[in-house]
Amino acid sequence: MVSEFDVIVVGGGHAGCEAASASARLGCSTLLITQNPQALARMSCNPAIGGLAKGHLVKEVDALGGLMGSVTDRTAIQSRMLNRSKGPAVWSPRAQCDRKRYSEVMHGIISNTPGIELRAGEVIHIIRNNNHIVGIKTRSGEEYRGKRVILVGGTFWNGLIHIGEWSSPAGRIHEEPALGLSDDLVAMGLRRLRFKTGTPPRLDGKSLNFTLTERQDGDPEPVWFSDPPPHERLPQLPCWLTYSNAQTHEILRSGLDRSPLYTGRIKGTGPRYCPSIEDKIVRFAERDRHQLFLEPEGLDTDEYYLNGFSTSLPEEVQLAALHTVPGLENVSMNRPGYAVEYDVFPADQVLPSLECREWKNLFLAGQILGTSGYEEAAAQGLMAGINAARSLRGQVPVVLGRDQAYIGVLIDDLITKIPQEPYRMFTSRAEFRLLLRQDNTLQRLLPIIREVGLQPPLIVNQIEGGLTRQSAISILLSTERVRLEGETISAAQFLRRPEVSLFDPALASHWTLPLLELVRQDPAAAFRAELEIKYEGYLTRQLVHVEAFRRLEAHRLPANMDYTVLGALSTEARQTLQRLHPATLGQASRLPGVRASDIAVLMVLLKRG
Amino acid sequence: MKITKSNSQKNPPESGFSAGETIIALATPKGVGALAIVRLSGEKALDITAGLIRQPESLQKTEPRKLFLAEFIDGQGQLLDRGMCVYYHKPNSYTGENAAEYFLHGSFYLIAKVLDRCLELGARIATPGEFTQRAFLNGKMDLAQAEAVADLIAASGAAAHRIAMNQTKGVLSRRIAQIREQLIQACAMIELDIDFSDQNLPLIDTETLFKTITQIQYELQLLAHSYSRGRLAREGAVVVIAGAPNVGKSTLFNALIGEDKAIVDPTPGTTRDSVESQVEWDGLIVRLVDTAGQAAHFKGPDLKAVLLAQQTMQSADLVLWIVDLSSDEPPIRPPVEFDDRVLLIGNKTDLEINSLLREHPYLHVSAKTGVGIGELKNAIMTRIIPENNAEITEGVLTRERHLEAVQKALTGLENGNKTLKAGGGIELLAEDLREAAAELGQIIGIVTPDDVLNRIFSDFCIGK
Ligand SMILES: Cc1cc2nc3c(=O)[nH]c(=O)nc-3n(C[C@H](O)[C@H](O)[C@H](O)COP(=O)(O)OP(=O)(O)OC[C@H]3O[C@@H](n4cnc5c(N)ncnc54)[C@H](O)[C@@H]3O)c2cc1C
Ligand SMILES: Nc1nc2c(ncn2[C@@H]2O[C@H](COP(=O)(O)OP(=O)(O)OP(=O)(O)O)[C@@H](O)[C@H]2O)c(=O)[nH]1
Ligand SMILES: [Mg+2]
Repeated sequence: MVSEFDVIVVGGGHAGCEAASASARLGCSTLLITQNPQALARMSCNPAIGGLAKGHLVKEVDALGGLMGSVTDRTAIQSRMLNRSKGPAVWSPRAQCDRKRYSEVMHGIISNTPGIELRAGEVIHIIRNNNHIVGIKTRSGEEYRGKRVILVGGTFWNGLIHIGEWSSPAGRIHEEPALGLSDDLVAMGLRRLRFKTGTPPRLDGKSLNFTLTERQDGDPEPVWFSDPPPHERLPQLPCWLTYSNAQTHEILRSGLDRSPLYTGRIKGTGPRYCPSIEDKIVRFAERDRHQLFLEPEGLDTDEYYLNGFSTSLPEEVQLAALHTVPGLENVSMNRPGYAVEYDVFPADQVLPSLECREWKNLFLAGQILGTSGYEEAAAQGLMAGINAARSLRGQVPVVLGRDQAYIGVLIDDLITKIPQEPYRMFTSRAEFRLLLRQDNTLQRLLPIIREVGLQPPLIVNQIEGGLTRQSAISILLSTERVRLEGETISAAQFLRRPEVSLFDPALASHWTLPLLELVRQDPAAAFRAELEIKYEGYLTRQLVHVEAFRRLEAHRLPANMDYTVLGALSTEARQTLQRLHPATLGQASRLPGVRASDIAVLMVLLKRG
Repeated sequence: MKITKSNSQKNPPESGFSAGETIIALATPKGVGALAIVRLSGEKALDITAGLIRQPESLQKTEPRKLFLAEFIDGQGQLLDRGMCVYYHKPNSYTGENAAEYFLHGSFYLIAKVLDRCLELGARIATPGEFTQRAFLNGKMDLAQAEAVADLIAASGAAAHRIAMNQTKGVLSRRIAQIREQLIQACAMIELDIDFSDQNLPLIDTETLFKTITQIQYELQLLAHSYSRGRLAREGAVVVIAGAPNVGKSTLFNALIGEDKAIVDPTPGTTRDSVESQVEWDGLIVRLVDTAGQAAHFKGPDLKAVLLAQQTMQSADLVLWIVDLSSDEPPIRPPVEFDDRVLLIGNKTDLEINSLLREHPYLHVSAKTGVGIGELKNAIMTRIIPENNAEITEGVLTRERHLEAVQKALTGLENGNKTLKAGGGIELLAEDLREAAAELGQIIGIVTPDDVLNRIFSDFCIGK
């Protein structure tokens, strides 16, 4: 018997869980099929969510109705706001999570979502009928029909892990790879690349001597991703900081000739920004120490994750090197670090909705599109789930702009820049960074939240309420006057002074009671109002740039345009444009090989109609 | 005639980029000269050439970029002219397209016939700047280079020519690109600090950052200063001769230009309309303007002439204010607003000098005899060439647009400095630096909003 679903999601990682949840909650009967349903949203690497720019992504996922933010908040064992010494635009929340609980909580949510059917199975084939996809087939021979299929395979497609000279097919250590599906996509005409990533060893906490390390606690006040946040948090644990030294580096260096990275056994491209420890000692040979964090894996385990020590050197080299690190003299490894190579399908093969260009109704998301990181995966999974559901209902896809969300920047970068190494989010990738802050996520996304429809009306009302209070505060600030020695100025002018804040109790006497009452009622709204006054000049300027950006985005390029006959374009631009057919002039301008002069040519053509 | 018709068409240059349209224009100045060059660019440039010459096989026999002899014929095979021809294959031409050039005898009638024939064969008259625009659009030059070509065409003085030549070779572009590179470098430092603050990288050194920014500011200021010099070289300095009636302004004007262009007469109020003449001194173009004498009691047309003279003075880089040293009447002073750009000149020193004026700091000349004229020229040059003139013809700003961009970039940097000093986050400084880099990018065409493009290409002359 063949069962039939509206949407089939293949893979139960971070992307898959978001996709399935969004699709089911938007009313689609959804099959979530994954190799091991007990490993839903398992954190392959670091037991932490958020961090620089990634924290923004999580808050956006949460705002749009995704799961990652609330699962993180419910399982966090340490949370912090990073970059606090800098301006609020680049603050980013980060949380250390209990790895086991994270997966369990996610499992609970998925199993209790009406409309999701969770099944075990390895998908090896996309069933198709001419140019149509009609369903999927598993290794054990089951077939499922689906109107839409979302593929979110993570690091599992033709996964191959390496430790020193040893290698073995696996998606993660001790987990089977997914074989066959990637080859099937190639047979369907898709183009693939090979990327790699790595992870550090896991250590036995009982063998660690913390007295030789520095303790690092989270922020005293919880830092939440979700809105509304949970009522309570788990007990909090510290992290511990230690350093590698010259001796460590010496040992690591002695093992380089057996490193799969340096012997050429690994063919895939790794991320430059997240180098392995062996990479670090080669590339930054002048540094005599590197920071290493001991991060707890959970409340019920003694296991520690050694952040900063990603490696694929032979196990005995890893261990010998670790024994030179203060606090780790007697350490025993529960599991060595390793590297994994896997297949990716460059994202220029999908549309901004994440639907395949060449195969309608087939969506790709997550690590397989060339990103790295749970947050990047979750963001894409959510969008793929939303857009699969929308396309079933005949609605236009939701495509976020670079001026609206980090998610918009992420997907636009993927499809226009065609990353040649694993892509992770940075705040500097967002040209409108000052506007895309983590503190105003709900407010700036409000129209999209309404459009998507995953948030209950109550939440939408609350966001609207927050916006109203924010503008009330702004109005009060611009109309009220503050009397100082010898002069009277507007409250806004006073607030613009670097040392002045609405939250400083010593200055409370300067504000009127209605204003103070509003600040007390909704500190978040007051924070946003204050920030917008303090940075007014900069924000206004960014808005001007947003206008210019939107003008370019508004020039839509005809879908049937034949670029090959446009002799005035550079050869490279002609080829790229013909292949990708960007939707707008703005998109075209960000494609590699398309120069300002090519854009000028297109602009002229569009003007002539 | 067809040419005038096509010429007067208000055909914006943008119709040129559609694939294959072939454009034609006379590349040498209009009027009778010994030689005229006709230039053709576009897909059909070679086909049209084949139809225009009696020996189309020469196109096969001769290599591109080599001159060959050709007989130019009309539609009936009648000989129009014997001249030279050269052709280019894309992308190895000025415009990056197929192209050809014909060297003809410079008779207007003959050129008209050749152009007519080419139009019959499918070419269209180029709009102003279209050749350069195509070169730009085909990636043959960046914006600063394209502008420099326009300057080169217009350049008359040797200094202007030198600057324009440098610019076409990309000296300005290189200089801007270097400064922009430094800016981007500074941005990168900051971004590293923001996005990798959890990686225990060495802390950002604000000291070095300040230094880098100050250095960039200094270089941009130099560039901004070079503008006045660049503009002078391009447009020439305007030197206006003014003063009371009959003090000898026109005589001096004639002495300076070396010909009797302005009317000289003992009756006051001789000069009414301004008279202008252009000279080249030390490679710099000087535009001398003689004006009507100014007196408080003038009425009617005389008053109008005074007003006109005062208006002319407004546009001056330097005002030569002339007084008659032999006169008994107290000399009138130039309006104070010109204090910073006036040179006081005492004329008629060949006559007896009024003893009351002897001590005044006038530069003494006799327009009539020519005594002191050499010194006057020197004084003029010293005043119109800005200080630190040490050969800054390299990478000089010559365009208002460039100056604007540099000034905006400077404002951005100042802003950033202020923010940083006021304790603002470095993410704000990053914003200012990014913006400054974008402004500089505009000069070399890395970011080119269409209005900038349009503005640039509208002041080209046909055929370039
Ligand atoms: C060793 C290692 C190191 C890493 N290091 C980093 C790092 O340093 N920094 C960083 O940001 N990120 C790192 N990651 C990446 C991070 O784990 C991923 O980015 C993230 O998990 C991707 O989410 P996803 O949903 O796309 O895929 P995954 O979380 O990988 O989930 C994919 C799921 O799909 C299932 N699946 C796959 N194919 C099939 C199939 N054919 N049929 C059925 N089920 C299938 C798998 O079983 C798995 O459950 C690392 C991952 C690994 C394995
Ligand atoms: N002796 C002597 N006569 C001069 C000199 N310069 C000008 N003159 C005479 O002064 C008279 C006026 O000269 P212009 O050059 O016409 O004077 P102007 O200032 O142009 O007069 P307006 O145009 O009427 O304002 C003429 O007769 C000139 O010959 C000079 O240096 N020496
Ligand atoms: Mg006169």
